[in-house]
Amino acid sequence: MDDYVITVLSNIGMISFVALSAYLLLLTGVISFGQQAYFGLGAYAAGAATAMLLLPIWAGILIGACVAGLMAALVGALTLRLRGLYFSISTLAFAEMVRLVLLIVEVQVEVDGELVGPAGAEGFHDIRWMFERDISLGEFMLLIYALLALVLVALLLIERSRLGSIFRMLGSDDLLADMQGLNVVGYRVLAAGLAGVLAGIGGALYAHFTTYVEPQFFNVMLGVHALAYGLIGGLGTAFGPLIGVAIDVGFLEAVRFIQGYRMIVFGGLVALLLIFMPRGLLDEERVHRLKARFRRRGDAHAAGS
Amino acid sequence: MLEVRGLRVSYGGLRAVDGVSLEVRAGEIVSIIGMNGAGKTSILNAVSGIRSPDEGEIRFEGESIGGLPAHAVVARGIVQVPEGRLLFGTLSVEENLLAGAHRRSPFVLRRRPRADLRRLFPALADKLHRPAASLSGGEAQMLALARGLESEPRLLLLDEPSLGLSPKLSEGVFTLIRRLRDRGLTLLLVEQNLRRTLALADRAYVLESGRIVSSGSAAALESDHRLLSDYLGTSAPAAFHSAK
Ligand SMILES: Nc1ncnc2c1ncn2[C@@H]1O[C@H](COP(=O)(O)OP(=O)(O)OP(=O)(O)O)[C@@H](O)[C@H]1O
Ligand SMILES: [Mg+2]
Repeated sequence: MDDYVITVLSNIGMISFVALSAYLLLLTGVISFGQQAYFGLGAYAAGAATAMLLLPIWAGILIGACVAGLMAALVGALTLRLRGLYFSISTLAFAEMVRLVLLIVEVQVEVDGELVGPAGAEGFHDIRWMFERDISLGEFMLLIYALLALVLVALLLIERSRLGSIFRMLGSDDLLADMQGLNVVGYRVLAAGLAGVLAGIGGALYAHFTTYVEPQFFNVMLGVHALAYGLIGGLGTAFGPLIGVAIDVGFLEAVRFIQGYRMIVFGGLVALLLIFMPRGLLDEERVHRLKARFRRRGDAHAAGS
Repeated sequence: MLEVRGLRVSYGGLRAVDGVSLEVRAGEIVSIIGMNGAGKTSILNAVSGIRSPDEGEIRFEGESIGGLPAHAVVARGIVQVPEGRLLFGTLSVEENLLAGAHRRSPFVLRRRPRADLRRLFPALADKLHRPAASLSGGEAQMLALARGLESEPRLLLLDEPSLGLSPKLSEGVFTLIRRLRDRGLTLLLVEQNLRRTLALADRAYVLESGRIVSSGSAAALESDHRLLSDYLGTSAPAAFHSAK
């Protein structure tokens, strides 16, 4: 595989974490325009761990995930009592605040005679864990997909657990969920924390893949795209948002003649899709039907043997 | 079991419930009857914690529960089946059924619904994997009831369970309510249909503009002709006879 293909595939993998992050919150019925903040926090925290504190990469990813997750849960606990649009606006405000703070934060330490660390608007350069160890882009891509697979398995397990139903109940009708004895805000804070972890992992990987991060990368467009992926792909299963990412980052990026018109084509595609499939490609109903078909086939097998 | 004293609920300046006191004893079916806008749902919402009361006391088995959040009230064994918005439409029938099992840890795989629930609601048993939005009105009402039972309540608050159902279907719902009482459940039932509700309930309260205007045993209220004609208007006798 040439580096271009590897880069596109890796981008699909890393952006998928942000898409899944937004998806998890969409499931519980809240729209966040701010998941890019946790992507950014994860990137900076993980970068600081490996480049400044010289910790191993797994520790960096873990720290990035935890910092993002805790921050997301904290922000969620403060804002999730707000209704609908007010919550959405507060997520956007928080994300912009994080970005603006990182634009001015300068904390650098000397490593091997060079200054390393966040340098305000310059960004955070020289996160060179991968190059110092001679790890190829291809190998790093495998790490990305291994983690993505792990996250997907975790999400599918949640999907089959009571927690998954609870998240969907909140999304379907939160007043009715309240009447079932569910602590609506509590479960949403939990979802926000988990969503923060997912975005944080994506950011941690991104920082190490590109060796630098700058606040400009996680502006609001990343958050809006993350939402759009779930809406295009559908909220019926965690594979929905991944399809959304693959269409945008994969197909549109790869087809070079669209370059320059990509936002227009993507926007048009989203509009068309939402007219004909308002709940996305893999919405709950289609997923119910697919599952029923599998189940019937499974039953037929069981009866036949 | 449940004791409400001097309950007041208002929305902005509008007083929807104005000093209501009522009581439900263990094993009873108690009904609140009243026309649209009388304040029936507001009373249930105050009891279940969906809306905190402005004034008044709500006690469940001696403990004051007025103003507790809904999940704390459910944890004490009071479950509300709301009017109209009954189901989680995007979830499957099975998931809706299990939605009531709040006492289970969220961190376990979903289990099957309890066997006796399947027996009580045979119509739902072979539709478990369909999306709940695809159910008919009667099936949806049954499922909402079944979900309420899944959380093993001690007091079930039913808000107009026959709303929008054909006479035959609502008869089915009423039969089911009777069977639930026979199994030891206590019910507070909100209805508009005076005649059919009195046939089912042990005691009833008649609510008008947020105030209780009449109360007593169902038999006593049923023989109160003034109430019947007030409530049902001039066509009352005809309606009363045609149903017999
Ligand atoms: N959320 C609300 N905001 C403002 N006013 C409300 C609200 N809910 C109810 N009301 C008002 O309070 C009064 C009582 O309403 P409530 O829903 O308790 O009546 P109800 O007896 O349940 O009626 P119905 O039989 O139509 O369900 C009505 O006048 C209604 O307009
Ligand atoms: Mg009502």
